[in-house]
Amino acid sequence: MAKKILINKEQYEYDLIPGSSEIEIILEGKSYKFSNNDLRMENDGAHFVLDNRDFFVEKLNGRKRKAADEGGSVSPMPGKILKVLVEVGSLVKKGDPLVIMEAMKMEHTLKASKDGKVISIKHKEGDLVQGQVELVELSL
Amino acid sequence: MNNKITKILIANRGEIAIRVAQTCRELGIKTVSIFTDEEQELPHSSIGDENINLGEGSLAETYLNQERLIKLAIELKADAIHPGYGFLSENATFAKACVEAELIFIGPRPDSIELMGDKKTSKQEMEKIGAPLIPGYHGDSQEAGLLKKEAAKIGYPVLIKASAGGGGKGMRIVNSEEEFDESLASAKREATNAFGNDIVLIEKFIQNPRHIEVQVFGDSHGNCVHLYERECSIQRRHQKIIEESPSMALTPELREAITSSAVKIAKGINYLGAGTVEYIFDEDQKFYFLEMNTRLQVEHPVTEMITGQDLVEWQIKVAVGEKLPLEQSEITCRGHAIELRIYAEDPDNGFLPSIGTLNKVGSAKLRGVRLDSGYQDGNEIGVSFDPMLAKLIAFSDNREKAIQKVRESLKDFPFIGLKTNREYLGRVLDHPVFHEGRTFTHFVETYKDDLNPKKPSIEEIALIIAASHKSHHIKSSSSENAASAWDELKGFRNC
Repeated sequence: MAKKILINKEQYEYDLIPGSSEIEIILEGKSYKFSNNDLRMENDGAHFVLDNRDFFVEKLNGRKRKAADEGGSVSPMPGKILKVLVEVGSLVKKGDPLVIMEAMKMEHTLKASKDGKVISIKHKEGDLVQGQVELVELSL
Repeated sequence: MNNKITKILIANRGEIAIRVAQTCRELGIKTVSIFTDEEQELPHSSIGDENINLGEGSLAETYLNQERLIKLAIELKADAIHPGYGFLSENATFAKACVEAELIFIGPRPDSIELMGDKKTSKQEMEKIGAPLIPGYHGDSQEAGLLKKEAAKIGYPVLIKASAGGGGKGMRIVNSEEEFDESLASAKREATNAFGNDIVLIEKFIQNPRHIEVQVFGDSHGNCVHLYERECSIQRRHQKIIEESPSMALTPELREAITSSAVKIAKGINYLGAGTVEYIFDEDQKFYFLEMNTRLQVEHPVTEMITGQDLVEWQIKVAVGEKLPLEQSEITCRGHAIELRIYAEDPDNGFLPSIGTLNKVGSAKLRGVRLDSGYQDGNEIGVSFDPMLAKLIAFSDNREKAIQKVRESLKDFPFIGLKTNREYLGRVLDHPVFHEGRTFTHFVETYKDDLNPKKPSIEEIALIIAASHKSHHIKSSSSENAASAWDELKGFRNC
């Protein structure tokens, strides 16, 4: 069965055929064989550096993606809510500003990732929030 | 004044604390380093002859606690405090308190800090001295209607800046009158939060400007010299990421003009110690005074490399009342130096700070390469402090060779374990316009599309997949690691 992997947030499906001196990867219907020597690169198992480029690898084991990824607006890091620019029921277009946050002493404007209607607002102005939490829920 | 320094308390952290301690060791001066509970594993917590844990608490209780640091210096019999950059380095009250406690503050006189710390009063003083100034409104009245009228008078685009500002905080570019009100409100809000003061000034916004600054030094005998310029035009979010010296924009005549201007300013305010006069340099080869930073700069290593001087040593010498080590005619520069600032951030996602475990920093392998790093293998990178991890500096005979060397050296410093801007810095270095030396402060926005990550080939993806199966220490998922790291941020400070 095909395995799934996220590399720099892009998803790929592949098959793996292990060998004694080389490893074979079937990707998009083509076969790629690598010797152990080919695979030498700086890495810690999740972060690989190839030709000075960073690859962040995440193996997917059939787990569901977070609901927050489905839309709305997610705090990029811990910080404080300065302004909420929408109300429940507001119709927003992709790219409209939803919330202004302050983090690392800088202002960040969080924008709608798609068109939709505001279903709920999870935090009010002045709240301190963690990173990766949903701030505004948008309808699909 | 002719004192002797035998012990310095370094009132800072990270790479600059380490940098100061290094010179102290070379001069046979003992050091006291300070750190907080969460920084116990960081290298600066063990570089001093004495290392003091300030415990946990907010910045106000630790690195910014003036009384506590002065008391500590006295208790440990330090004769001087080196403030580094940031934190208390440009705090006139602290500099005064040091002097009152009979400690040497390794920096300028408090009145110079005070003068240059306020953009408005400094501009007024600069006008008297005859420094070149950008057209603008620096008046006392902050009435919104008046500010809008002044903006129209100057002519759009204009720049709104916090009077007490720095680091790009409280700063907005306004392209047209329609944008003015919203930008003003936002700038004032950010200024209030960052500096507790919402006074702003308005200036003509200069298109395609270069950022060129001059390193100056003054002593207590009335001498003042420059150590050439640095060009710091490559910036993101108004913060420098690549600095170099010499600047490609300066002819010998322009270099003479800009360095003379900087020395005139420093002399005009009777400046003591290390300072940097920053200028904006426009397409018509005119330069305007921007501000003066009354401290050692983050990017001082490029100057050290082209002049062969140790600026921290110069700071210590003039602080004890010695004459400047060299006269102007003895200060020469050769070759070219480039510094890259390595940040824990994601350039492909709005430069947002990233966190994680720094599993491998790497080490310098090429001649003329220096890494000033505040972190070592295994350190946790959080969000309590500035996201700058390290500075990579390379020196060579000319610019093209220096670019090649610093580009190649990025490979020796993989910063494994978390997202950094190092790959992005490589993309900037590779850009043909950067190679031509046509740098300006909106470079990264202007060439945004060119600086996007190159899409990996399918062969490369297959190779990464294979490598991920071979790797012995596979982590189940990087996002889970990130999630758990966020959870550990309980009670974190300075949010």
